[in-house]
Amino acid sequence: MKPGRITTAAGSFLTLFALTLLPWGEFKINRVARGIPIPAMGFLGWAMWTTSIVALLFIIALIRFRPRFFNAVLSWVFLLLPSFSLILLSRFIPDGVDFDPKVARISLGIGFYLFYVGILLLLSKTKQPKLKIFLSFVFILAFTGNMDALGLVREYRNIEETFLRELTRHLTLALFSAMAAIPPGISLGYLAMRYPKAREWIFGFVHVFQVAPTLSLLALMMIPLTALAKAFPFLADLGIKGIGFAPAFIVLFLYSLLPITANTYAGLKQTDPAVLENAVALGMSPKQVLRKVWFPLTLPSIFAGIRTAMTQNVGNTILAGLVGGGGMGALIFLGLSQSALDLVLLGTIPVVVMALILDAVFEVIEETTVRKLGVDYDRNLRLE
Amino acid sequence: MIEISGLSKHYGETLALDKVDLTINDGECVVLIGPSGCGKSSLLRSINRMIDIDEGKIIVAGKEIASYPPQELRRKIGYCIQNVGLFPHYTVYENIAVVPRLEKWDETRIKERVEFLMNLTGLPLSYLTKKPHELSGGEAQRVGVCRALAADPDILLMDEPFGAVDPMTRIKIQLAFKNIQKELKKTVVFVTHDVEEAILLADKLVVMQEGKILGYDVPEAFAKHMEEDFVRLFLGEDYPVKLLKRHGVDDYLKQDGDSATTLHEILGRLLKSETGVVEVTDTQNKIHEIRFEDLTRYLREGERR
Repeated sequence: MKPGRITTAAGSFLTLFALTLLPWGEFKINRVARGIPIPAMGFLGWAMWTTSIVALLFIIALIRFRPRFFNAVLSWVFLLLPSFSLILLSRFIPDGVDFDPKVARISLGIGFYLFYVGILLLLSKTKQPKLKIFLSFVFILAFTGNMDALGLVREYRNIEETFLRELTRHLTLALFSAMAAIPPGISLGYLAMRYPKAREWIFGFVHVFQVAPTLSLLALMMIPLTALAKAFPFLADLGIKGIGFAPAFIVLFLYSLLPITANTYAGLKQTDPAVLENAVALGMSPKQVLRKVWFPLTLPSIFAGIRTAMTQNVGNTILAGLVGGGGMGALIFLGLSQSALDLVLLGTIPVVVMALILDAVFEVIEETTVRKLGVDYDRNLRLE
Repeated sequence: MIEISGLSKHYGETLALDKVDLTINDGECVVLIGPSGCGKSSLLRSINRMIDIDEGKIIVAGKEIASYPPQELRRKIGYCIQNVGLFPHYTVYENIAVVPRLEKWDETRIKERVEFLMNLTGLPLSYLTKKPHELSGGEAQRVGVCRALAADPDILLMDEPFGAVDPMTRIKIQLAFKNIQKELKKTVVFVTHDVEEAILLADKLVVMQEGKILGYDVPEAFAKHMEEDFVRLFLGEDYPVKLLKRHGVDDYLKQDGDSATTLHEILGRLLKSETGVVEVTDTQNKIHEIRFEDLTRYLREGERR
């Protein structure tokens, strides 16, 4: 079987399986109550459910036998489906259950997720960027109050202020700690290049933080910081103490060092020796060589390092929640401790979105510098 | 004038240069030739202090090079090497302008100079805004030559500058460089291991082996050095034949013409002709006969010159 057929088959199976047998969500009368599973038929109603299945079979047949025929139209239909089904799902009201409409909620279930995995598989032959449009579309609908009964939206409404505060905090922590690591990271990379004897020490130093589990580093950091704050109480007033912002910031800072240092070093090392020799031979002083030639040529590589540091930091910052440093981790760990999965999701989704956005932003910056310099960091220069 | 005396250089145990003496006159193109590891590059690179010498003296423009600050010395001396080493983040213009900018020329003067050099090396002015990666190998070499000449240095050091381009482009660049040199009359020290390139460009030839100079003379006079085994081996038994490429029919007829025919081509025609005679016309439309003996005689005369 061709790979295309396998994905179509898997997609068909998943979508049909989800539509017929799996629960799409759970209705809970309050946050921690056991949920009542909602099958597709439950919230679609008989008529719509049957129509959906017939329509799906028809579409699968189209994809199977006429792969390119309706693809453009189809992808738009499928794009609107999730939003549509979310709205319907959030309007679901079970029979014979007493509940307070302000507290009751609907959490998303396995059927919903698998159905859209199946849809993505079915659409794998069409253009993909629609996923971003789909996500934005769902967000807009959610914010304009179209699916208030969803657990995710309800959790968000409950803690709107906290959520925004923690989100800001998360970004601040992740970005500023990585930014603080830029000057020392670059300096260390340069020193490693300049003094080969110091190289192993420098790389040993930055590797330790990368290899040691973040969590244990956080714990290690708490001891000296607590001692410090006890010895010099004014430091505690400045926020430097065993828990909170300071240890999280320091750990994230140390964590960011390796990618920046390693990329700076690699960039410096990769520079064409003929270019550097010429810079010297044309009469540049060592400082001029570094400022005018060597460092600019290393910039794309350094940017790649900063990009890695920033994106990995966005994920790692979750752990700051454990030491009172705040951020999305605070929501996630609270959700975990209360078995409130919607809250966990509410904390996780923004982290993923932030990492993706940051990565995209940095990709643009990196490409711009590469284009401006007319040189790439991993491609060798074309010097015949 | 570059005066080198008693120059020695060690790399650990190996002796790269062994008490070398060499005087290079102003306006001459001196080609250092020899197998790899013979010390020719070390000799070249010691002139602008890219390597430090162990013993001996180098005098450039009447002053010992150790008395110049190294950056100042290097800016006075143009430098051009095999891999060009153009700055990939600079445009062609910025690449050529490097030394004038270091010397703090004003920008209008730099612009004039850059455009002059582009014309000189036969590069279109539209290339000024290009980046090095957009250039072909030959074009990059030309830009390299422009950059070396940018601040109008009296001395030019070239280390196999045309070594990395394809043969066709190479001949074009060599001829272009020969013309440039005719016009600018720089003092050039040129390193190569290609005998034909050396014969084409050299005013004087230096053959080196194991850190020593085996011969220093005009190319025509090298036949008398051929008794030495190494020189004969390195330059090749066909050296006199290659030498004929240096001389045009105009040189032979002692006239100021514009014929592109070389004596090398005349030799080719002689080898093909059944009579052993090739006829050429001079600028006065007089017909001259050239025989094998004439070529032999011409080379002998060159030796004495």
